Amino acid sequence: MRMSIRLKVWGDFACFTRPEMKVERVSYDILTPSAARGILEAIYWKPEIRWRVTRIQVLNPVRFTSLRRNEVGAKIPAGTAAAAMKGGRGRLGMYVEEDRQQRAATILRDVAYVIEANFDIVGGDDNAGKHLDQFNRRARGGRCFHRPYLGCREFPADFALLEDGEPVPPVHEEWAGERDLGYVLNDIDFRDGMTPHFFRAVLRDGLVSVPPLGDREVRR
Amino acid sequence: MSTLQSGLLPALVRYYERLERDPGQNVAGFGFSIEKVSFCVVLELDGSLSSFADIRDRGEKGKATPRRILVPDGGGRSGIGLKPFFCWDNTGYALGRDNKGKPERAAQMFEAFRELHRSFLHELQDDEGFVALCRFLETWEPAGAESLDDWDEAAGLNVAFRLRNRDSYVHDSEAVRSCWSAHLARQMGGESGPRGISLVSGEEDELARLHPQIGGVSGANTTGAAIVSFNLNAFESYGKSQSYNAPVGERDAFRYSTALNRLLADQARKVRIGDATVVFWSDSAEGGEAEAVFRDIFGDDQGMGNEAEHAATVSRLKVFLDAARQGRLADALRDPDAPFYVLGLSPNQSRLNVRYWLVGTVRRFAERLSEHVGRLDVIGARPDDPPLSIRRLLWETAREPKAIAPQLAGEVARAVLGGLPYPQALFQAVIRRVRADSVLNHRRAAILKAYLIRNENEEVSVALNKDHPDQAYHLGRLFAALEKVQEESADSKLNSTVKDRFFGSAAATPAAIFPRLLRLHQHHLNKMSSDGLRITREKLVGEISGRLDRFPSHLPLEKQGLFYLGYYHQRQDFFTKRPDTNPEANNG
Repeated sequence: MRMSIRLKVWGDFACFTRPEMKVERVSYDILTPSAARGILEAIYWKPEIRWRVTRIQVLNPVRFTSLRRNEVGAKIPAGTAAAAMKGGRGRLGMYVEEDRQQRAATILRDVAYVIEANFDIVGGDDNAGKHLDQFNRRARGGRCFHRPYLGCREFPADFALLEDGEPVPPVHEEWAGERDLGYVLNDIDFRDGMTPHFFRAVLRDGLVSVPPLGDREVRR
Repeated sequence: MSTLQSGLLPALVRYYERLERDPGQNVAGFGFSIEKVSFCVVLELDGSLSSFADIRDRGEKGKATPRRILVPDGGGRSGIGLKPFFCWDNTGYALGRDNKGKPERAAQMFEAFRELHRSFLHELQDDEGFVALCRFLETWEPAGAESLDDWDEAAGLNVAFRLRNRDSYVHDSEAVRSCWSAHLARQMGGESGPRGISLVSGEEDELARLHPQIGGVSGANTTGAAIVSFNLNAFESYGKSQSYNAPVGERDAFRYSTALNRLLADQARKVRIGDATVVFWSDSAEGGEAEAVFRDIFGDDQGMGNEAEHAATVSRLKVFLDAARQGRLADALRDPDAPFYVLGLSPNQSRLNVRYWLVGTVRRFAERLSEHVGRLDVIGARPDDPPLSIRRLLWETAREPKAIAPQLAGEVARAVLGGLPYPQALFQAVIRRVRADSVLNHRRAAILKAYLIRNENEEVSVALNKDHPDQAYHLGRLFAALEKVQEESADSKLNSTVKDRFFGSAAATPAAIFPRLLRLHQHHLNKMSSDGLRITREKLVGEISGRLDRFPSHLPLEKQGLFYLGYYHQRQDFFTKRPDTNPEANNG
């Protein structure tokens, strides 16, 4: 039995924010592995498994658009929140009118990808088929724990399971040949001081292979 | 062919590396920067003051501009702490007097400056220039500054130091430079900030906590702003502070910001589009000619005052675009496959926002530009008209230049450079302007045409097409014919024509307007003085009406565009045949 899944995701807008341009957001050209993992986890996740994105196929050409949004400039301090929890009173409110920050974003539009992934069993009984079946059943039926999104919560993703043997949808001709996108965020290592890991994203006909986290290629 | 770098920072780092390899470029190495210095303190070998020299360049009108020289990088200053620079600084630090009216503060600054240099003395005791500088600092009385030549002008400006009878500055000596580099390395090693993988190069390096400022973006802080900055805590994630949120090595941060600052300082590579400052560059030295063409198309009509330069611009564009259209770019450009980058930056608070970032080859951008220019081509342009730069097109969307939507300017530039459909807002804005002021000039017609071709797949020719398949087009032609008859019946002595009153509504709701216009038309015909002309006009109106089945009650926006183009073409056609009648109305 094949232990990997293929999921097609698409949406009108997406923003896979580059860390270096995350204040005035600019998106990466493609879906990042950590965003792909987020989508899979929105559909099916259990503490017993850990998703591992192996390949991403980019279907649509890269198109950008820009927009500005009102956000806030401050976080509610953790100390205040802790004190309020302890003391049972205190002010946690934040007034958006007083702390507005307008932020610009350069985002992707009309995106579509095929995510290829498998998962590691990290606890419980070692019954991978059970988890695989559950994921497939849920994805087929369009069920999810929360609405999956493309990089930012406000850009919802549609998804459809690619069944075994079903061909990958056509890839836009713009992706023909090889394209080097430089270093792209792979994922954050949450067990190691939340260290970001990057990988060299080289696309061949729009297909990028994602090295596993901790692989030599990731850290170099 | 070199490969394309899709990321902004890696592309800038590559540009820096190219500059670094080029000995003619005088690019600052790590730990050094190019700063504006106005005066030079000339010293004797024993540290006594020889003279105080004005080293500013004088322009034609006698305006003095500071000289840009390579100095040990001070890294900028913020706050009120004392931070002297090495071997150069403003007069407050370097001489203990400035124009801020705070002598105590200046004295402290001078003290700090002296201490900094004294601390290097044992390392540099063999460098006679540096020794002289230290001796000078030991004996200098700040009060003496006020008796220097040109002090009134010099106060507060940057000064550097030099020995008499030497061409180079004190900080240019090999010993001083290597001592400074070693000092920086020690400092970095000593403080030992977090190390990590730089997301630009993928190599491990000391990570930059703050990135150097970027200057030269219009509308931004004059001291500069940053692309990579985390100036409020809501922007930080995963418990990381400042730029550790985006791990970039110190060296990479220095390289990209140096390269970008250099691009932004170069007027030949910079234009303004809307609220964005746009720079473009090529990875290859041969890309220069393409950069010039880009400036012409996007630029600010630099050559307007100067006829010769203007003519040169037009002919350069023509050669380039003709070559692109005929697929002969390889002949016109030495390196058409060189990577070409376009970066649009606009300020937002104290940060910089990347409005667009486009990567391609010279050839690809040239082809897109030539397609764009081809779509804009419409009859009625006079031979001496300037090229339709993006800025000129945008002027047609608003009543006054400052009312142009900044967002729109960016989207149009993105569409042209990216070979994408034009923003609908451009088309809507032009239609709205035509309706508001009833002016349909060559530029507006060009925008409508380009939009209809690219976005609506309409076929629109350069000049009148009597067999156009769409009725809206012929409705526009009919309107032009009716207006013409009115003008001719009154010998052009009209205060207002049917166009002034009905142009917009005829385009939007033909059924409500045209029956009325046709009734008026009968009156106009009867008033015409020449029988021959009347018959010609009646024939024309008959020919056009023959192509219409009915007057639609409502025309959607894109059809209104066709209506206006039909009108414009028909109107131009009147003048093409009879060039002696009132050429003024060409634009009307």
